[in-house]
Amino acid sequence: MTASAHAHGFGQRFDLPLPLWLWLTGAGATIVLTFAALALFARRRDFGTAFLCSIDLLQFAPLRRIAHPLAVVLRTICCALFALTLAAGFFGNPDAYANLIVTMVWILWWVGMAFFCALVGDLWEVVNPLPTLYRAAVRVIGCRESLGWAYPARLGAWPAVALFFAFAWAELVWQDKDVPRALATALLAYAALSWVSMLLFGVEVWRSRADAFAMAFRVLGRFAPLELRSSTPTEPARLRLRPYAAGLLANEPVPNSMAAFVLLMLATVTFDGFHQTPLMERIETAAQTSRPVAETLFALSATGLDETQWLSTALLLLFPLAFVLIFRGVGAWMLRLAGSSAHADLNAMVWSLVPIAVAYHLAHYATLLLTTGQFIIPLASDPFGWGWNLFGTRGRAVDLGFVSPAVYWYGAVALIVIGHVLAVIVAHVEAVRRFASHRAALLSQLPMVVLMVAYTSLSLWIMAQPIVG
Amino acid sequence: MDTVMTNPNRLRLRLIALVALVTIAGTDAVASPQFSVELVGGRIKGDDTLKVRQGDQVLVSFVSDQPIVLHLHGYDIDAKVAPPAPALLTFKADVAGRFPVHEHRHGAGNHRAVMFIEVHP
Repeated sequence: MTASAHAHGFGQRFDLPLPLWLWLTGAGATIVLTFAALALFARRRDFGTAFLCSIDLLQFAPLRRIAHPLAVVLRTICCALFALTLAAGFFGNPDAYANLIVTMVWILWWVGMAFFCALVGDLWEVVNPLPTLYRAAVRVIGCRESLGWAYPARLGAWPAVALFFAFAWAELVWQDKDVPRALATALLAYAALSWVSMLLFGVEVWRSRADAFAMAFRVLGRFAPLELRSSTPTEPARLRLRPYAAGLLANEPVPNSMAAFVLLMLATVTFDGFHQTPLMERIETAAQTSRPVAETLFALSATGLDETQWLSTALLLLFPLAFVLIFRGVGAWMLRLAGSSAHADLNAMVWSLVPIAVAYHLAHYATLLLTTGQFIIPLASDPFGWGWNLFGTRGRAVDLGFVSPAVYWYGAVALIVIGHVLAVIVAHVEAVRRFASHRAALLSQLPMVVLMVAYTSLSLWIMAQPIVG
Repeated sequence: MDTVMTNPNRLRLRLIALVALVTIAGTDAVASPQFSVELVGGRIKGDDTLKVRQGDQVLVSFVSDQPIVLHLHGYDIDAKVAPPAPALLTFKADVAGRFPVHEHRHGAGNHRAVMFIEVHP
């Protein structure tokens, strides 16, 4: 590839739209399987119990012996990779494709780590380099781990919501997200913010309330079959095996901020697909031709962002707001159908939407990970883009035909339909827990099923759209 | 299965096999679709998506009212249009996918795709 070919945005996707017949088959299967799942599981009230069993893997001596050293090795590797990524970003080649940082952050870490967390377990909780480096520094200096300021309880997880929105904006709208130096600066700024917060409020408070990434990977990790937790001063390490999606059936109350965080995650993944569809292009054209909107956008464009970016920002804000409103509406409808006795807290119902989001995320990003992710092979030999050839893999070309469209199409539809069925099951178990009578639980599921069929159909529709972005 | 199969069934099976063979033989021969694309002010006139089959030898001829450099992403080939002469973009469509053709410009800017080439399996 010539250098000039890199001028276009990083991580271009070349997926063919889902063929119409497959799209309709997927949508049909969704509806049929929803009713099959409901008919099968709705009869038994104790259905959830079989789903909730898990095995403590640390009870096995060999695993117990390996787990801790393995975690230490992985943490060390991640700290080294973090340092290498930052160094490459600041001092390496300014070309997005020749510098490790762009592939490392957007593809390997954000897409790859999310895949691992959703399919295997929340590895980020164990390997996150920011707390590791912070604790190491504290040990070397020999000071207290935190100043112990009290975290304002009413803030809840809202700081994580705000930071995740900022991150989503960077991923979808920020012009310089492919510029190594700019990306390295953003990464370092986030690390600095993390460390200052850890110093003020403590490592665990930061991780559980404000760290958008710890939170995002934890949400995905709930879907996974391995429950991974490194030990904290108050709790021992956990390594448990459970069925897929069983981790979504947690018993603890879900605060508004946490529900908002999950809905924000779902909304941004959907927006990522949506903003590459022809409909988005039509919205852009419509906005440019409508006088008041165009004038507002033009006035805003003096601020450093262009009109398209402002429009994307506005829509990126509207998507989560719409998701929250719809979720609230569905919740109110559920309570009405379930009868006057119902005053259950329905925030926990957000967990039931996670399997659809995970499936859509996998379907949406799989080809990107498998094609653009191949850049890591040449980059491993030359992370700074200085012409090194450490492992003899420099200049290795990317094989775009690695994933055939047929594999992608069938895989995407199968994933989304399976995710949908798991979502229906999780929602049903949650409803049975919350509502006193069987009838109330069943009736309450109607709005939820409507919401899920709509969400799954939206995901399938996006896959059936040609990518124009 | 063969023992229970009646004669008409066998005939049908043979017919299906024959049709399948003809289809395979049909796709074996390389098609060479040709397209003419007209650009006005850097924008395409008409449908913005060309559809070809995987394995085709594709030829796209561009005319433009202004000089423009086009870049087929993924395949990474350029076509330089210098009016009034048409420019040719020719490639063997061996990788399936939907590939954008960008206008090639230097510096920052909105990299809108001029058109797309869909290579279907």
